[in-house]
Amino acid sequence: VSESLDKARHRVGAAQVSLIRALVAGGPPPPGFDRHRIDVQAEALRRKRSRSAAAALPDLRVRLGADWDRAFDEYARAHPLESSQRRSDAALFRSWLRRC
Amino acid sequence: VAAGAAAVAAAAVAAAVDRTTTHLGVGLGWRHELDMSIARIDGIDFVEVVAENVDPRRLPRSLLDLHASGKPVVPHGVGLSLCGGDPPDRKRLRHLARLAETLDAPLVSEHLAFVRAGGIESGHLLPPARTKDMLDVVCANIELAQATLPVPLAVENVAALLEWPNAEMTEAEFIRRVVERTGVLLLLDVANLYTNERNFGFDAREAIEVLPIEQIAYVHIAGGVERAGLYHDTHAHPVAAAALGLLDHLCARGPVPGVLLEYDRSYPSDTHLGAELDLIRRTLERARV
Repeated sequence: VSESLDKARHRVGAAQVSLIRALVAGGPPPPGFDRHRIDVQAEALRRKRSRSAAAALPDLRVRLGADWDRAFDEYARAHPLESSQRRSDAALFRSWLRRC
Repeated sequence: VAAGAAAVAAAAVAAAVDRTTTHLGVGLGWRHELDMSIARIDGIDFVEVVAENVDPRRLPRSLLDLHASGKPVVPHGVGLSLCGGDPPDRKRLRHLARLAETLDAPLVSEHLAFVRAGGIESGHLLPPARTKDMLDVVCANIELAQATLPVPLAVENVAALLEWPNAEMTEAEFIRRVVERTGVLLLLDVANLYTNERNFGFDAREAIEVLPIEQIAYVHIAGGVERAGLYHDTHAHPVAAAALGLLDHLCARGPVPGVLLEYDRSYPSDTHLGAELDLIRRTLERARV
């Protein structure tokens, strides 16, 4: 039973990696998915991430004004949120912006 | 004699329900931005706190006050990724367990979703594939969580914008099988059910016929908005009349121990929140009469 569970875990995990890569890391849409829905979900995830960073960086959000969306979008597409990252997304975005 | 027998039978049914569920009433999701509103609005019977947002050793004053006043506080996890390929993270489980103990919570809740894979975080709850593989994995993960948590676990159906190809069962059947195999409680989000009805074209009332509603610990409700033909569960807009209609339908089917309203941003005035909570309370009370 545990060997078949391990195999199921592997199959489930591999399929989820493909979907997450398509949504947040520029990967190709996995076969069988509606490509428009993938785009809408990806956009919804970026917007949520952007709102969360903006809430942590209110001054920077005001200073960037209309440029925030373009800047955050560029950052987010190039830097998927990694499970292992210790610094907050907002702090990483601020550092990325300074280097630009 | 017949009436007496019926009363005894009704009492037995009520006792059976009481064994698995706690009466919770009408609740509002605790957020830092809402702590004053929660203190000011009359008739909030319980709250929920997003587990990842607090440290059990340094809980916000307003949450401790609610706990001290005897109101149930339910820890609500968003990061356990119960539908992920990996077993649930031990640190995250310990955190949920400590919160439940510190707050004397009657239960904790999480989602039938995954939020990470291959070291990448999605940043939001994503729906599981509805396959036998997924059932085996999520049931094993739920059993691992149940073995660690000091209180019962309830799992919530999620709102989705996309779905996996080659589904082997409906969402309602998937949830029913998870509940039957693990004995987990159900946190039924009627706004999520409504969102999926809109986005995938099934009948939510038919889904309720299939869902294990006798295992409902409490219900979530929240607002959303349509954008370009898809319905987004935003937790930032007023509750849709259709979602309240689903709550009403659900309450007519069986006992609903509690309903909790969620806002995550665009927080409305106390007046607006109070009015939505009143609508929810009236819907619950109408069913009880």
